[in-house]
Amino acid sequence: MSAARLLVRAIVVSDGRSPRLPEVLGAIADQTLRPDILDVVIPADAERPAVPEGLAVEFVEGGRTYAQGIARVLGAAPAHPYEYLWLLHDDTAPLPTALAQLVATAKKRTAAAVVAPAHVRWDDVTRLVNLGVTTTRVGARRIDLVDEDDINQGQYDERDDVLAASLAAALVRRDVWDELGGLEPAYRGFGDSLHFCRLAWRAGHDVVIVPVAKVRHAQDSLTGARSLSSRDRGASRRRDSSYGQRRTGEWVHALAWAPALAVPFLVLWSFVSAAFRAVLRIAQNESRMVGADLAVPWRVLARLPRVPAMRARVRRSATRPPSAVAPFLVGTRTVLTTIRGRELRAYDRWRAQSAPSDMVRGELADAAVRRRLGLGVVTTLALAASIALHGTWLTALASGRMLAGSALGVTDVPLDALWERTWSGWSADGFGSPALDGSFAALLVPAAALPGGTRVWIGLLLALGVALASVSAWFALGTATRSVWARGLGALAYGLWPLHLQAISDGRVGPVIAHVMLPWFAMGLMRAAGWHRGEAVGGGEEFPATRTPSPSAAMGAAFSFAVIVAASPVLLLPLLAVIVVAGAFAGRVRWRVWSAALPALVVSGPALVAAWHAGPLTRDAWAILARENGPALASGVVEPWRIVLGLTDSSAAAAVLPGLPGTVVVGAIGLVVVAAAVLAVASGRAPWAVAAGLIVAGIGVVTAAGAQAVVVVSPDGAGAAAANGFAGPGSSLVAAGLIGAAAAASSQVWNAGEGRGRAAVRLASSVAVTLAAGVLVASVVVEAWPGRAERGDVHPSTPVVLPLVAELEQRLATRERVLVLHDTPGGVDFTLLEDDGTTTLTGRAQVAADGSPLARPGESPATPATLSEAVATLAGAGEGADRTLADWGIGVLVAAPGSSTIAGSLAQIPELSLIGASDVGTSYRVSRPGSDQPIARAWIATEDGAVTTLDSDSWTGATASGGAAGTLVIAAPADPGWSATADGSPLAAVDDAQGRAAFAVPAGAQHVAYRYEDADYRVWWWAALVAVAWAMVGMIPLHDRRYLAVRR
Amino acid sequence: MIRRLVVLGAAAAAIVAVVASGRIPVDPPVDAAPYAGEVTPAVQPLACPGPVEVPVGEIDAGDPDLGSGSSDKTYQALGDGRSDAGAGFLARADAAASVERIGSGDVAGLAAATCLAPVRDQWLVGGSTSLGSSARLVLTNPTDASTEATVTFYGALGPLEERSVVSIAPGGQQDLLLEGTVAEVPALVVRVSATGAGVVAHLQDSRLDGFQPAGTDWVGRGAAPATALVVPGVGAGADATTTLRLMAPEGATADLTLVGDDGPVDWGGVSSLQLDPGVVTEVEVPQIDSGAIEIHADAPVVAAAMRSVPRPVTDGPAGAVERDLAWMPAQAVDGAEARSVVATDHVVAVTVHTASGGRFTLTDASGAVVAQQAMAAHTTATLPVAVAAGTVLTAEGRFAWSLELEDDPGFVATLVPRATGVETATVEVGQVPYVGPGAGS
Repeated sequence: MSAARLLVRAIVVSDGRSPRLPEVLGAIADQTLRPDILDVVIPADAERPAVPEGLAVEFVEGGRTYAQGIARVLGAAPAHPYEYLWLLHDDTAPLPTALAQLVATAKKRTAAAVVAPAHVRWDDVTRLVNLGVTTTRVGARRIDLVDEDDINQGQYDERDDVLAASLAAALVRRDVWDELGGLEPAYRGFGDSLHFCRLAWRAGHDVVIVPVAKVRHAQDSLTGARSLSSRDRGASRRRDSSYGQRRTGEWVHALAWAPALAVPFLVLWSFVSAAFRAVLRIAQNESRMVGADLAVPWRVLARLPRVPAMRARVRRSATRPPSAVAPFLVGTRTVLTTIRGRELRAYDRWRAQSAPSDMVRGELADAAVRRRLGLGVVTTLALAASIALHGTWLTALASGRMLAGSALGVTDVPLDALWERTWSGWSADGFGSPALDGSFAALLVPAAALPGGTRVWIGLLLALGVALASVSAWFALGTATRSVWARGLGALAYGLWPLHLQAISDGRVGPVIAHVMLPWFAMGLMRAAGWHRGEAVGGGEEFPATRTPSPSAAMGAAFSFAVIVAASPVLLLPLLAVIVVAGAFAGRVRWRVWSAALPALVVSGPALVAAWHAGPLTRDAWAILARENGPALASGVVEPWRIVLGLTDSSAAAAVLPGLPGTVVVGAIGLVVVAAAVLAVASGRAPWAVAAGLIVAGIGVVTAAGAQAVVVVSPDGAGAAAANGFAGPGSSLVAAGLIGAAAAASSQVWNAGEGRGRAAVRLASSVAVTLAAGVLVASVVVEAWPGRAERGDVHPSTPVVLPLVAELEQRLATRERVLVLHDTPGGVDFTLLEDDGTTTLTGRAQVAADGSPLARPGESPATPATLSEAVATLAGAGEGADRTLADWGIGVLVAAPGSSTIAGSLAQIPELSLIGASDVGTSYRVSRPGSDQPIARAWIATEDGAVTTLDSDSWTGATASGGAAGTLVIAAPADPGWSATADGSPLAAVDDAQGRAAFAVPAGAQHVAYRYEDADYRVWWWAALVAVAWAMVGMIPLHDRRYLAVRR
Repeated sequence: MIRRLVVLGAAAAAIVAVVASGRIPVDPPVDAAPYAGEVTPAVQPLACPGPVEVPVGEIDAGDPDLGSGSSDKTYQALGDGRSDAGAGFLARADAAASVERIGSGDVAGLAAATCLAPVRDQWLVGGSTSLGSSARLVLTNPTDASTEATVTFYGALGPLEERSVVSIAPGGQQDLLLEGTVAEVPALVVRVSATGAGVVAHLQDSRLDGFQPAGTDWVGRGAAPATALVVPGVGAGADATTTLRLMAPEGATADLTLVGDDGPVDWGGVSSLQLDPGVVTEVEVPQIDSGAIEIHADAPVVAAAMRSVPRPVTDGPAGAVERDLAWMPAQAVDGAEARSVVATDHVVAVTVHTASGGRFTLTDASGAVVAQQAMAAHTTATLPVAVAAGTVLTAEGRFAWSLELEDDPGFVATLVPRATGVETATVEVGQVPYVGPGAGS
C-alpha cells in the first residue's frame, strides 16, 4: 500500500471525568499535521469540553469501555482505503510534531499496522514512560523496553521494530484493525495492546515505534485514577489498584499464546506464582497486595472460558508462524536483568534521597569503624565472660556430652518428640495429658532440626547465654545511643545481669531465651515507630536527620514478642502494655506498632482463654498468664529492691573480697545500672526516653514480684515439682528499662555543654565509664573465681540416661514406657519416662492448682501418682505390681545405678525378668500377665483374654490385624480428644475402671486405629503458625531498599 | 519544664512500683506429699548359721586336754522344712533354732542360735577380736536372689574405716573372720546392710583365756536402733559377770535401769551415760539373780549383754577357770505381737521382763500353758520350763523374754524368740526427675 496522502482519523475516547481532556484537544489542535477527522467519544451525560478554535470535532456518544467507544465511531464511518486510526486517550497529549512523525513513518513502513510514538511523562517530557513492550516466551510477564522515568537522551532513537507498543496515541491501519477485530475484550483494558500488536505480527504486518514522536501520557488507568471516586484522587492514587487486572492480563496473554497443551500447566503455575508473590508481599509488608496477588489466579480462572475463542481468533488470523515473533521474546536472563535493574534503580532512588555530604560521609565512615570495633570488642569480651563462667560446658558439648539438671531435665531431646508434642497437642509426660498449647516445643523444633539437635543448641544457648544477651543488647542500644562506650557497657551489663546468670545456671531455658530476645523486641519497637537515633555527626546533629519508621522492624518486634511469650509467658501482659502505650505515642504509625502485638496474642490465645475462664481478674488467671512453659523450679521470694538489683534470695559473698557482703558483690552490676539511671534522671537529658525506660523498669518490678507471688507450676502427678514464678523475666525488663534509660541519656553527652562545663562532663563521664567497666570485669572475676559455689545444678552429663535395652523398648512400635526406680533413705523414688530421661524441653501440659489440666478444666485424669502403690509393692518385692504396670504400658523397669536395694527387690519378683545390667542401670522386663503378647501403649483385649497390640506413637496408633470383638485400651488417660476407628467407622468409647481411654471394638474389624485430636488446639496452632510465619516473612527488611523488587 | 516533670513523674512511678510490689501477698508452692506405702514382703525362710567352728581349726594334739577340737559334740538343729544352706540350714517354719554342746576343746560350751528371717539392715552387738578372741560373721542368704552385704564395724574408738563387702548367692552362705579385717577390737558392734530382701547374719563369738576356753556363743541380731530397749535375762549366779555393751550410731545420752523380780534395783553411776557417736561402750552390770536392763536414751542406741559364767578347770593349772558365755541381745519394748522360739535340749527356764505389767503366758503349739506368771510393771521373772526339744513356745504381749539354756559343767546359752507375724514395712514413694546416673535425686 502506498499513497501520497493518508487519511488519519483521530479518535479520542474519554470517560468524561478526566480533567485533561481539554488539554488533549489543545495538543491535537497544536499538531503541525492535524488529523483529517477528529472524533471525540464521550458519555452522553458528561459535560462536553471546550474545543480549541479551528478544530473540527465530531462528538460521539461513548460506550462503557474504550473498545466500545472506538467500535461506535468506526461503525458509523465506512473505511477509507488509506485510513489510519490515531487512537488517543483522554490522558494522552501528543507533542506538536508527533502526528507528523508518525505519518512520515507510516508512509515509509507500509507494512506497519501499528506505528506507535514514545510515551513520556505528562509533567516532564524528558522522562520516558513507554517505548515498546515485549513479553517472555511463556508470555506471563510483560517486559517494558525502557525503564520507567528513564531520561530521554535520544538513546533509543534507533529503535523501530518492536513486538508491541501501547496503542495509546498510536497510528493503526484501519483495515488491519477491522481484520483483527479490534481490541480483545478479555483483557479488560490491560494487556490488549500487546495482544493486538502480537496478533498483527502473526497476521503478516509490522509494529513500528517512532521514538522521536512523543506523547505525554498521564497513565490514569494504570494509576487507578479513573476507578477511584473523586474524593480519593490525589493522595491515594496508587497503581496498586490496577495491579490485579494487569497481572491477570499477563496470564491471559500467556494462555492465549502458549501451546494448547501448556494451558493447564499455566493455570497451575499461576497459583504457584501467586503464592510465591504473596509471600514476597508479606516480606515487603504490603499486606494489601497479598490479597491482590492471591486473587490473580481466580481471576484468570474466571476468564478461562474466553480463552478458546481468543485462541481460535489467533489461529484464524495468523499467516506467519509463531517463530516470526520469537526474536522479540525475551528469555530468563533478560527477565533477571530487568528485575535487577529495577532493584538498582530503587536503591539509587533511596540513596539519592538520603545522600549525605562528603563531610558527613566521612564522619559516617569513622562512626562505622568505631561501631564495628565496638561490636567486635563487646562480642569478644562477652564470649570471654561466657567461657570464664561456663567454659567447661562448651568442652563437654564438644565431647558429645549434654547439659542436664533437675529442672532442665535432659537436653538431648529428639526432633520427633518435640514435633509430636507441638503437633498433636498431647503431652506425653507421665501418662500423658491434653496440653494447653504447644508453643514451647514449637520454639525448640528448629534447634532440634539443626545438626547436633537440642543437645548442642540448647547447650550453646545456655553456655553462651551471656554473649548472646550482650550482643542482642548491643544492637538494641544502638537505637538509644550512638556512643560506643555506653552501648558496650550497657550491653555487657545486660548480658551479665545476675538473674540471667541464675537462669542459665538453673537451666531455665525460657527466661534465658526471653532475656536474649527482649533487646530485639525493644529494637524492633523503636525502629517501627521511628524513634531510633541516627548516627551522630557534626555538632550534635544526627544522620539521617529524620528516621523513617520501618514496617519490617514492627514485624521483627512482633516475631520477637511471639518468641518471648512462648519462652516466658509472664512477659505477655507487661510487653503488651508497652506496645499499647508506645503505639499511642507513635502518631501515624500507631497501627503498625500495635500490630506487633498480634502474633504474641495469637500464640498466647489458649492461655488467654483459659485465664478468662478462670475469672479474668483473679490470682488463678494471673497464675495461668504467668505460667512456666519449660524448665522451672521453686525460687525464694525476694524483696522488690533485690529484683531491681537482679538478686536472688541468697547472694554468696566472694572469697576474693572478704570484706564485702554478698549482696554488694553480686548486686554490683545492678547498683551501677541503678546509679546510671539516677544520673540519667538527674541530667534531664532525653526525657521521654528516660521516662519510658523508668516506666518499663517499674512494670518489670511489678511483673517479677507478681510472678514470684503465685504458684505457676502446680503438682501434676507426673513428677513436676511445684514452683512459684521466677523473678528473672521481670528483672530482665528492669535491666532493659534502666540500661535503656541510661543509654538514652548518655547520647551525645560527650558534646554537651560549653567550655569548662564540657570539660567537666567529659572528665566525669570518663571516670564513670572506667568505674562501670571495672565493676563489670570484677563481677566476671568473682563469678568465675575457682571454688565459688555453682549458682544452679546444670551440669554436663552423659547423653545416655537409660540402658540401651530400655531405650530400645521405648522406640519400638509398642511404645513401652520405662519406670526408673532409685533408692532413697526412706523408700524409693520413681520416674516414669517416655523418652531417654526426664524431658522438660517439650513444654508443660499445664495443670491448674487442683491438678486438672488447663485444657480440660475440672477434670482429674489419671496420673502416674497412682503408680505409687505398685512401686511400693515392687520395693517390698511383693506380688501384683506387674498387672498395674502392664495396664499402663510400662514394659521395662530400670533400677538406677547405685540403687542396689530396689535392684535386689526387683530380682526377687518372679514376674520380672532381667534383661540387662550396665553402668547406667539394671533393666527388668515386665511380662503381660496371662498373655505372651508384649506390653504396649495400646492393645485390643478380647473377652477370652487374647491380646493384639497396636503400633503406636505418643498420640496415634493402628493395627491391621484385628478380628475378634474386644476392647481397645490406650494406656493414657481418657479424654474427649481420643477417637478410634475400626475399618474407618468410629468406635464408641467405653468406661475404664482405671481412667484409661478405651473403645469397644466390634467383631471382624480388621484395621483399628486411634488418634488424639483437639479441635481448639488445632485452630490455635494454625493461627499461631500463620501469625508467626507472617511476622517472620514480614521482618525480612526488603521494604527499605528493594521495595520495588516486585513490580507494583 | 514539662520534660522535667515527665522524667520525675516516671521516676516516682517506678519507685511506687517498687514499694507496691513488696506488698503483693505470696502463695508458697506446695509439693504433693510423698506416698507412704505399707508393704508386706514375701515370707522368706529362716536361716541358721550351722555348727560353730574352732577358730584355729581342729588341731588334734593327741591329748584331749590340749587339742583345740573336741570329740564330745552334739549338734541339734530344730525347725520344720529344713534344707541345707552352706554349713547352716534354712527352715520354712515360724521358729527354728540350733544348739550345739561341745564338751571340750577351745570352744567348749553351749552355743545356741535362733534362726532368723533376712533383713536389709541389722546390727549385731557382740564379739571381740582382741588377742585370744575370734569373731566369725556368718552371712546366710535364704532368699532366691543374690545379695550383696556391706559390713561396717564400730569399736571403742568409734566407727572403723574398714568395711567388707560380701556377695552371697541365693541359698548360700559366706563367713568372714573379723579378726582378719578389724584386729584387736575388744568390743565390736557390727552392722550388716544388704541389698534385695536382705541377709541373715550371725556372729560366732569364741574366746580363749590362755589355754582355757573362755566361752563361745552365737550373737544374733538385736533390736534395731531405738530409744527404748530391754535386755532380759541378765540374772546369773554369784560368780558370773554380766557386761552391757551399748552403742549409739549418732550419739546419745542413755539412762540404764536394772530391774529385778521385785522392781528396779539400785545401780549407781550409770544415769545419763554419755554415748559418743559410733563409740562402743561397755558397762559392768551388778550381780542379780534374775533381772533385766531397761535402756532409755534420747537418740537411738543398740545394745546387748554378755554373761560370762566361770567354772573350775577340771584338769589344768591350779586356780585357772574356764568360762562359758551367753549373749543376750536387746529387745524392743513396744512389740506386743506374738513371738515364738523352738525349745531345744538344755532349756531350763524362761526369763521375762515387762515394762507395763500383765500376765505372761508361755504356750506350746497346742495351746497348752507351759509357764505363766502375773507380773507387775518393771519387774522380771524367771520361770522354769521343761518341754521336749522341738516344742514351739509362743508368748504374746508386751514382754521381753528369752529362754535360758544350761548344762553341766557350767555351760550357758540363750535363745531369743522371734516375731512370727510378717512385718510390714513403710516405704515412702516419691516422683522425681531423672537425668541419668550420678545426677539428680
